[in-house]
Amino acid sequence: MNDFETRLAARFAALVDHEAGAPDSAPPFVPVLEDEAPDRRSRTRVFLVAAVVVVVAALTWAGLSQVIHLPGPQVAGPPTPSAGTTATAVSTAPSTSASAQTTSSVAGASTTVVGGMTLSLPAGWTVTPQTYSGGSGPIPGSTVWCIDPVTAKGSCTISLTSAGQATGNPLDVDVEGGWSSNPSYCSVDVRQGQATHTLDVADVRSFGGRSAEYRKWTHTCTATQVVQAEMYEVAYAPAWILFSEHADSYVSAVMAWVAQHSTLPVQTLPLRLQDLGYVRSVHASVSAYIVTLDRVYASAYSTAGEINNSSTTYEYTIPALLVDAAGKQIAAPKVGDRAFIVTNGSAVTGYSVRPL
Amino acid sequence: MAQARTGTSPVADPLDSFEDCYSSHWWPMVRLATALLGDTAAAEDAVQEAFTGLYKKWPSLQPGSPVGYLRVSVVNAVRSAQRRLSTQRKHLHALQDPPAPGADERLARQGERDQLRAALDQLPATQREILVLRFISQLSDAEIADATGLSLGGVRSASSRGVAALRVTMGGSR
Repeated sequence: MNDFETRLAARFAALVDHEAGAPDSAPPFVPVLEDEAPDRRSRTRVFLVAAVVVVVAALTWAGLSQVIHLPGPQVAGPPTPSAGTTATAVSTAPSTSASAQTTSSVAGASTTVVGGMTLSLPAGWTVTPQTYSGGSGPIPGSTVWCIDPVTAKGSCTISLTSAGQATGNPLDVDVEGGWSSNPSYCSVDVRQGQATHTLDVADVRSFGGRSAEYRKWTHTCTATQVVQAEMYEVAYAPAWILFSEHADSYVSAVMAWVAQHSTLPVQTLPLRLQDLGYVRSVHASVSAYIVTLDRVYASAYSTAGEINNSSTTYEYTIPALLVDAAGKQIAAPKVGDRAFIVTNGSAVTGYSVRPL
Repeated sequence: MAQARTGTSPVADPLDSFEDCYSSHWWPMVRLATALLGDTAAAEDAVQEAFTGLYKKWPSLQPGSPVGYLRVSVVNAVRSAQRRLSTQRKHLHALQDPPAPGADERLARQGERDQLRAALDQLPATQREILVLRFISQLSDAEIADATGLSLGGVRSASSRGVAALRVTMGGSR
């Protein structure tokens, strides 16, 4: 149980203490003598009649659906939810908020425009703007929507973020959630071996027709508390993040479906907004250092190590002022640095060395 | 008043009789039902309904099963009560008086309780049941699965989603 859940348990106890009052002894038990219930045979008859009515209605509806079938491509839905999930398959487009305008729908799916993105959702899922309380809010410059089963609207099973550039918090494709931060999923310490954290998958996949960094992590806090996180992050402007901390196989399939069938706004600026890798070469000039970076896939937890599947390098021009100016206390780039680079899409705005 | 059945029964210790079971579990079940319903009177009715069902089944219950059976009965009775209450509350809502002002600390505690109750009311019923069974009855996932009829995976998934929803609603996100 993490800190939040501990606080939650205390608040649950306080709530029920208040509502139920002080502990009380049981009053005398008085069994209610009811009239005899209808016998099983008559209940079965009622059930059969009801079942027949439902089947006839379903067949009639199916026939009508064939007649008024909407034109457009048939889109295969995600796998059927496993038993016990709260997702409910529905055949109509889910409702959307005022800021999310539904533009069209095809059988089994809905298509909605959010923040310039054409978002396709499988049947039974809906999108709402994320709401905030208690002073928390989105990272400035970003907008977040929650993608949920219609039965769990607003739960933010999957979050969709339009990541603006006017933020003081850089993107980080190697951190759960997509921003530089220090996520803590377990109340016990990973580094002391009381929990395990693994980077299960790190590669590049398509998200809305653009190239996205894909990550999948597993946090095993205890035998019964396991957090599965999954993310698609488009790291070029305009940047978008599709993320879930509930990425079981069903939610993962929904994310893949959304990534495949949606369309993101096109890339507008040439440079990736954030990068991490090893400096392989440095060319110094009067006003800048031109470096080539050998990108790595990493983890916020050093125990998970890092992955480097490709020797491809990417060129960045580091303004000398970023590292040489008084008070910067940043050494000039050198070969072998494990460098974290931040850009505004057009130019490098931050350079730091992050040892493994 | 009908007398509770006592004496030998097929049910395992320590609940030697229906009377023992009733006196031991009435209050925990009232707390559970209250947390689910937010209404003590309705909760006591639901618990009474559950114990009445248990009373009828008592002679045929398998050893060790009365508490599990009782819990399922309470959850089911609460579901029925929620359907009735939701209709009543639609009409009563406009008639409720605003809370009277009080000391700051009391208001703060009341605010926290109101916030949690409001957040719980916004959750899907399944998630609400699971969180209450987890945090109030302190059941394991397997016991919650038995009480709600969900699969173990379903319980974990809904529990995780419920906590995440409360984290967002109550401002506990990282």
